[in-house]
Amino acid sequence: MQKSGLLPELTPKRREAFVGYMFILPTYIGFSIFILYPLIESVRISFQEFSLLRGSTYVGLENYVQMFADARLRIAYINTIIFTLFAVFFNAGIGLILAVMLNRRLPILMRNLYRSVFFFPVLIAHTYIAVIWRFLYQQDTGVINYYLGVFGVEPIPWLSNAHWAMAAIIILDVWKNTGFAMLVFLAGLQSIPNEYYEAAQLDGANERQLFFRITIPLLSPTIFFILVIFMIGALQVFDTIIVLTQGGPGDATRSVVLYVYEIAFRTFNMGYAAAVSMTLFAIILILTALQFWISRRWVHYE
Amino acid sequence: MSGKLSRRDFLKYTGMGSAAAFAATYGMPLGTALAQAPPGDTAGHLVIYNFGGTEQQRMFGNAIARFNERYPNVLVEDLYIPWPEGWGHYITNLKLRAASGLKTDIIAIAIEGTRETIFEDLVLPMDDAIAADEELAAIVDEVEPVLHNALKGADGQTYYFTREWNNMIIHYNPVKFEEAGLDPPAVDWTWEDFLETASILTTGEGGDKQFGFAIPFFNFGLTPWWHTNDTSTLTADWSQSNLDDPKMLESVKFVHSLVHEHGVAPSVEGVNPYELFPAGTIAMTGAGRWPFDTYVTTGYKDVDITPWPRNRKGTTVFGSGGWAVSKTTENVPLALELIKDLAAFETDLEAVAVGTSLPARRSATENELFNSFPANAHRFFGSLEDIKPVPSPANFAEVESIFMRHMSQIMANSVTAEQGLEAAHIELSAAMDKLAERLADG
Amino acid sequence: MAQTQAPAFKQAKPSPAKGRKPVNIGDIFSYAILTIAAILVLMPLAWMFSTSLRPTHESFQLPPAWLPTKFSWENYVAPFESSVPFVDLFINSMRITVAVTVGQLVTCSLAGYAFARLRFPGRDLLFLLLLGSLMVPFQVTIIPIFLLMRDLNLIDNPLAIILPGLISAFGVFLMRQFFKQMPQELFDAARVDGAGHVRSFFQIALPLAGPAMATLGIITFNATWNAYFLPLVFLNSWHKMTLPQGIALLTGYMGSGNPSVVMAAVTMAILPVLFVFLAAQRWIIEALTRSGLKG
Repeated sequence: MQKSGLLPELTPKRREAFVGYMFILPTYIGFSIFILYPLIESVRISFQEFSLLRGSTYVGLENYVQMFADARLRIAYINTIIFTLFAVFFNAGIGLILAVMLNRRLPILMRNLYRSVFFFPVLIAHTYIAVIWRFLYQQDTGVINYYLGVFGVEPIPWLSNAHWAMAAIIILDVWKNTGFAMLVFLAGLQSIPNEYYEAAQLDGANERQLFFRITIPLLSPTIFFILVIFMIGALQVFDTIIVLTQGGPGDATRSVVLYVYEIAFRTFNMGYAAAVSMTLFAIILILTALQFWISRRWVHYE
Repeated sequence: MSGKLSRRDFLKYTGMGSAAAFAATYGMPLGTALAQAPPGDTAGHLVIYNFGGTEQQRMFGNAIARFNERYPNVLVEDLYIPWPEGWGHYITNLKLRAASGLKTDIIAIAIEGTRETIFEDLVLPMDDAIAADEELAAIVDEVEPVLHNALKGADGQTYYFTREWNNMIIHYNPVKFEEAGLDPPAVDWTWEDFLETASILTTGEGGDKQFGFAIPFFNFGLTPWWHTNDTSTLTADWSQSNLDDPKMLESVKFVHSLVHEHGVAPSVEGVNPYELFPAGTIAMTGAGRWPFDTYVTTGYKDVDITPWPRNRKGTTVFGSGGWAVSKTTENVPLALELIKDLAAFETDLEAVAVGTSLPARRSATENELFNSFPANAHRFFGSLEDIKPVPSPANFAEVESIFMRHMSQIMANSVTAEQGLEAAHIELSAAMDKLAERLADG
Repeated sequence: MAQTQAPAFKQAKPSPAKGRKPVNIGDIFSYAILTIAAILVLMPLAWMFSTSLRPTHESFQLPPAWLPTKFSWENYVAPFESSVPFVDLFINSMRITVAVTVGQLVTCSLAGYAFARLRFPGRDLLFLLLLGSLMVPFQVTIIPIFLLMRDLNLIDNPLAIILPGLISAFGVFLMRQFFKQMPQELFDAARVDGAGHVRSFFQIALPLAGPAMATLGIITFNATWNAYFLPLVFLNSWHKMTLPQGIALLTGYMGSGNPSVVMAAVTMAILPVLFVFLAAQRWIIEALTRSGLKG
């Protein structure tokens, strides 16, 4: 192929830009139609008293002002933040530990087996998982408390106590999702060239030093990716909660998105639901921007 | 739409015969008027917005097949929402269809959603059509009046033809009763009798632990505890919160005590009574007919039914479903013809065999199939003598979520019954005020 | 590393898994932890599988039977005997899932490469804008999307699920991170050989992106296969539904369906994703040994 190829005769810089735009074009077409446009519509709805069948009226900032007096929204935000902190920490942490262990000198067969096992829960839809985990968590008739009882531990109110219910949600979430973090970490670990380790070993580095001086820095783009993705996902947590506690008892495990869902589909107050979503959107955006900004200090790209 | 034919208008046409009057009102060519129903070679396309489980879907499929024998050129699309996660989602989807101008001819919905669809003007009133059509009138006559009336609008007008119904009744395990040396519960047993029975049936430890009862912990399942105490979450006209009624407090405290004071029922969160009951972990629970489908297919036999224990009253609760003609249909007579097949006696007979709900007609249950299992199957229709529908105002989804949220906090001991009901009353009152405003604006 | 040439990556290298050092304490410790973790992860799934083979009334007993006690295979036949057209639903799900997965692999690898390795004005802003779309809870945008689909005449059409699925901000982000992680030397070497950007992408970046593509492929396949909410809103016809909707039918009113049959249906529904995962996993290994990167 000639240098010019199929592309018009352009300066190298312009040619690079042209290829760049072409490469992102398909994504941006879909993005504009199916994400940006509905998002703009949602912004519009957030300023309305919205009704599908009776016509909507603009109410200015009313939906936004209403939020400051909404005690349930405050609880939902606190729950969401607690969930996010724990879920991100344990999903990423356990996923990394598993990936690093799997990346050691294991026979290939064993590694594939373990990797499959840890990833297995990711494959099962939330709707199906509910049947299994409710049976595990039941207070008086559940499996976990049965085994704890064998050791003389009093039954734990997994789903009927405000604090335990949140713990139950986090445990289920980690069981379900840490395999995903593990898989991505493993793909990242495997793309670190072996030569780096060999060179460092020649310099007499021990395993710990290898881990902190080579693995972590070279894996940092992947770690960053996992932290960002899990944070964004956790701040929008919905599935794990709706199948297990539906936000209860009371509001003890109600996340912001669960609350949005309730306002939109039970109270039919779509305008307010859109407004709440916009604040969540803004908060996630700010936190993600913050992560990108901090990442410059610790993420190393080749 | 000419669907709002008044009684007086109707009388003007009586000279032409009721069938012609009806046909003329709906703008049909006069030649077909006397035949009333559209001719058999009518071509068309009808869309049903439907819900249910697999067996019900098969049963309605048969009804559609019967309709297609009469109208082979009509394509019927049976759109389908799997058991909806609450009626809110189901209704939103329906409204989206209406707002988008998508074709819907027949709407199936449970009582929980009827008032909302009537208020949002999604369904057509039927009084005049019933008056003009003997077959429709016969369908209404054959259905138990209490069932038919529950689906009416606040204006007293009929919008829905009864599709099926379910009540709440006690399911008990006769083998466990016998093992404990207990007689089957008396039909007029009281809360005290119930508690005593449940205590005796609560036995064992660890893996052998057995509970006397499992609380069906959802709005419909809890309602018999209110009705048997002569109270409810809403006032009788479903317009205001009734949670400040001392009888509600008494009922809630009784439900709470089953778990926390007497320990005769397992903690409610995460428990599905309909899994535990056939597993033999519990001796009694409450349900309608819906678990019988699974009892039959899995060959489970150790079950009979008995009325809900009474306190001040013996009233239990029921919920029913109905068929309505969508406001957006282009062919009302044709849609009505399809409803005649969907709500036919044949469908009721199939419902008996399917076992997820009770048929609209009592006559469909006067056979061996229905009465052989459970032994006291006649008690399902027997409960109609003293029964009230589940309170279903137009904001049902909101009422349910407010009440159940506070109820779960009470059951979790996060708040006392007094505190929980007080907070729920304040919230529910505000929601009902908002509804009143909405209805007034409507 | 500096003098690494692209061809060098084509040579296979012995995998470290073959073991160059004797087994040490650390390895045994790893084994122990991994095994315990694997058992904990598997137990609920083992219970699910063994329940699918039991009569219902034996399912919820304590202590739970983790392993099959009976082999009631009729639970696996029951879903097909129900009125749910499971074969149709399987085909529908497969069509949607394959279309979405292939589409995303194409769009995400292209865009991911552009955002990672090409310079053009507005690049970072465009990327952040795209990433922002991950942050919108779709429970709210669903109404505008429904009205849009209606205007496109796509209600009750599988394209209503496929078209929005063809792109993914998550996938672009994943691919970008992987492309960014690749050694610059490779691309410098290709440049010296006279390769343009398009050729660098197809001949250098893409072959090395095997693990990332396989990862994205599995994740997308799985997410689409299991999607419930979106098909629930857009696909209402009996014969156009997807598998999760069909299984939801089996669970019955108030969860009164036969749990053993539900478990059997779930187990069968998992098989395709499991198969894809195992195939992709094998492909990851092959891609790695071929590339000579650390396997």
